[in-house]
Amino acid sequence: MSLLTENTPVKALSRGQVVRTQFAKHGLAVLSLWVLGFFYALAAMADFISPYGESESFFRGAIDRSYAPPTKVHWIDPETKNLTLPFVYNVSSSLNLDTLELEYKEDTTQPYPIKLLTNGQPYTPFPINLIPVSWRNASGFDPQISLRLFGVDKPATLFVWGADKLGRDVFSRILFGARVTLTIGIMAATLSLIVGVVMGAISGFYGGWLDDFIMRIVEILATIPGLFLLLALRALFPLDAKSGVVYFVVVMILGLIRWGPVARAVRGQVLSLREEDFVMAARGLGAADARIIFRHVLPATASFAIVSFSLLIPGFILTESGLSFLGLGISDPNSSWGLMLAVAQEGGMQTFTSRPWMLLPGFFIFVAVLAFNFVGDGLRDALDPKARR
Amino acid sequence: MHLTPRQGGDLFETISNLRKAAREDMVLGFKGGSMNVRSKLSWLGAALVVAAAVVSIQGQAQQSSQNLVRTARFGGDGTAVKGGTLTYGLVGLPPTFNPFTVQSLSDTFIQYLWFPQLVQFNAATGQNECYVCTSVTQRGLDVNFNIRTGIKWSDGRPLTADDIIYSAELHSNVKINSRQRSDFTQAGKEIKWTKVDADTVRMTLNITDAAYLDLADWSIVPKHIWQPLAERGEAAVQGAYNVSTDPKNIVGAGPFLVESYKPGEEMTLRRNSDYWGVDEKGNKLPYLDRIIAKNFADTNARLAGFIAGQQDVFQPLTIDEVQGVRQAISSGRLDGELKINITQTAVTSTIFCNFQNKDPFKATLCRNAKFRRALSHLVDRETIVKVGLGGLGKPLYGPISSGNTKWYNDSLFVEGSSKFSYNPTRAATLLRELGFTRKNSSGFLVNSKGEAIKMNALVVSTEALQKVAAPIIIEDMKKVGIDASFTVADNGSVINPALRNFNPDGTRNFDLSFTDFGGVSDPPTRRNLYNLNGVAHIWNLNRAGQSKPEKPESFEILLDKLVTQGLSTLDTAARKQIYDQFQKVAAENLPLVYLYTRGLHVAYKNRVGNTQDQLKDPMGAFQSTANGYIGELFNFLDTAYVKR
Repeated sequence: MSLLTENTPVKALSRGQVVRTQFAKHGLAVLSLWVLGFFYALAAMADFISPYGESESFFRGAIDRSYAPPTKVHWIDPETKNLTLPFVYNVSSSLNLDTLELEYKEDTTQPYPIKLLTNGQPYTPFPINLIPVSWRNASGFDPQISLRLFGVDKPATLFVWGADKLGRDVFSRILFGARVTLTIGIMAATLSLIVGVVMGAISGFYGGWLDDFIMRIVEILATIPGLFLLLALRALFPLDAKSGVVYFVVVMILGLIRWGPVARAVRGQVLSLREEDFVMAARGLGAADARIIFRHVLPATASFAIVSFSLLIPGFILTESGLSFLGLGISDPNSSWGLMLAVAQEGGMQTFTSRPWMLLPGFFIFVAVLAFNFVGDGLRDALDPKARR
Repeated sequence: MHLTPRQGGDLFETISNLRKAAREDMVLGFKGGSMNVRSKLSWLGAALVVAAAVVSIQGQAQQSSQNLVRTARFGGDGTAVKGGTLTYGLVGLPPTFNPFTVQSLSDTFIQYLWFPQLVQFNAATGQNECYVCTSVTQRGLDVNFNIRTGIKWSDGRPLTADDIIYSAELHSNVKINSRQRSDFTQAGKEIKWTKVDADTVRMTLNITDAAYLDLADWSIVPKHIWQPLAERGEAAVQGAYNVSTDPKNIVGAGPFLVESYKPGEEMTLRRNSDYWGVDEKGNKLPYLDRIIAKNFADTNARLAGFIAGQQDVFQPLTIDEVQGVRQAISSGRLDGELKINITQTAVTSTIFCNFQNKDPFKATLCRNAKFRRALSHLVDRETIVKVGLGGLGKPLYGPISSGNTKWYNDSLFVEGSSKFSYNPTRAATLLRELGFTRKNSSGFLVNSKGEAIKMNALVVSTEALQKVAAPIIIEDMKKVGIDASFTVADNGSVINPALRNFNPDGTRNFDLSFTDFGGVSDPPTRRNLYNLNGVAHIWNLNRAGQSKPEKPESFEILLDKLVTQGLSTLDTAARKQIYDQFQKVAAENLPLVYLYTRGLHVAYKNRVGNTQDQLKDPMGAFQSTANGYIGELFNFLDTAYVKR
């Protein structure tokens, strides 16, 4: 019994449309995508949103804020007891001899209102700051603005999430750190995924000597001890190379050598896929190899690829703090979530008992990794014809 | 010669002292207290100088009984309780019981609890004192050690002169390669050890050496156990006494013997009932029945373990650990006491400039004392000590840590002539005098040729304190107009090769480096640091096969001379004078820009008695961050006790 008649309008959905509608059905994945989008927006606009610069520190002189706790924001006018525009007080520190820690006390004589769209340290706005500094210097095109979303007048300080040892704003540093953490690791993961999938597909599809050759490369790569490779790499860089540049190059190289496991798994899948009827059909219709690989074989491995991608990302994000330790990662005064967490870890128990705000980068790593996993989940379901809802 | 407990009784800074000090001096609270201590220390230093003139009076006085009298050197109260177990924490148990293959200093010190030494370092007096020997006499280059009779190995055999000579043979054997082998060469030649008679052994030096007792502090092993091993070859010696050896078979003669070893868990030492030490009342030592060294995964776990009451003694190394312990005691979670800034450790932290920079412009700058002084003026030591050490440390302007009370002389340091404290304006003036008179478009100082000072400093990634100091110093350098930056990197793979590797033309590639040097008590600085051919003469290094760097500065030659002179002078007053001059020359010329020293702290449960609160001269050579200064424990464990 056919419901289709000549007049029934046939709504043919493109593959992209199908994927989009399927993805939209995965609530968590959509939410995660929004969260990630929000993080990326924050990272891009870090200069504007954060009240202080990445390495703007307050640890000596009149403004001393070593491990200052989050600044209290007041909404109630102390005299009239009415709701008022938010303001903060200046703080002063003194050593508590029972804890041997600095204690911060508010000086309530003068309120400092939180100002919107105020001036702070000058910076190069997004997206001009994507252009390397040397190019900007060479061309003489380096506009600086000092407009910031919010801030307070000195000597009061506004640390939404407290300060670190050198009196640097943790909130600002998390935003700046996101730039590193959310981009470089993901680029490396993407790189290793692309290389791995393509190599695996070629290897599995053609077989023979090509297969042997690629698989032997994978094995050779697997025998290289990662730590020693990294140390050797570090020795190749000049001593005063910028930590950001060193980190970028090292992670890219890591991406280039970590494609082995992906390639192996993809090869295994392709070996069975190439005997499937739809591949035979495509071949029978005279499709070129490239078309068969990219249009028919690889999409069938998408669910695996996406899962392994979402597993690679946290790996690369977490690699970051380990690299900092070897002097290959981001190092002070630059910030990244991994570095901030490593610093928090150095404090040991005191981090937990006296300055828990130092652990916030860990929360962001957690949320970001989780979000990437959910997005991966959603994409897999959307791409996998068998999992459609 | 020992200090009586009373002499040292009120020396330590307790928290209550600190509290008083803080009221007087609201800045950080530690200044007032430490000044107080210093005046007392200098009084005590005078006493020590007298003491140092006489080698081991105590030994001679006890000739008849031949027992070693060990007073409670660290503030005991004469009411020791016998029995009980003391527990402390290690990060990583000793990897071997073998005195010839042991690598780290702290593991070596643990071995001294069961392997005796001819002389032993006493952290209370800051010098080596007779231990197995009863007296030392020196005639020319011959040093005779009289041996205490009646010492028994734990298997019942007596400890004899033959054991000592045989141990020296093993330690000096090149193929066995003991970490103390360097004790057996002097001026490139072997030092001879010979047996004079049954109770005397002789060390024949090649040249005069004031610190000759340092050459006799290695572990003595029983010949009847080790000779059969050595006959089977060096490998058998190196393979013996590993951690899987049955502790019953480990023959020692110290206050404690190994009882059990559970890899990764704990090591237990038991009391040696045949130990030959007694307290001042003639009671047999040690008081403790057992010592348990518990293993912890890392320093955080060890701290948590101490606060949870699993350890009796703990040495906090960082301000975070100090705060953790302090808070546990303040809140009543821990019945213990924390003594902070007992003294300064001998570790001196420095930043230095490469005299052999591949860029001749930078090399010339580094060789100019004005530049190094400018650098010193740019180091905000007070802030670094405050931020990085929580105030528990001291600014350092010379080569000897103020913790080394025997040689440190504070009066030598005069602002502007031998002390160059934080003063950016003065630094700018010095740079102007060097020709850096104007600033370029990037805001950096340039000379008449338009050259800016571009310098990068190396920072060791595992040194938390360097990582705090670096941004502070670099920021000040930038403010004054130096194009400064720093690189945090791994020590083994990046920094050490950068410091040590030469280009073919005899230059090296780094500009500045943050480096911490360990100290020893006597000579006051490491021999290899200020001698021109020293392996740690790192700012101007000699290449392999050379006896000195290619272009030594005149002050470097003077420093080399002073250190050598100091070592070969036997008269203490004359040595003090030499070392005073040495400190002054080093402080004026700053081959290393001295930064700060760290305080030495100790915490223990209140049930522990005869604790080590009053260390005078820490042997701060311990750079192991994991086990820190724990090596000093060996010095008090034989007289410590736990209350019931």
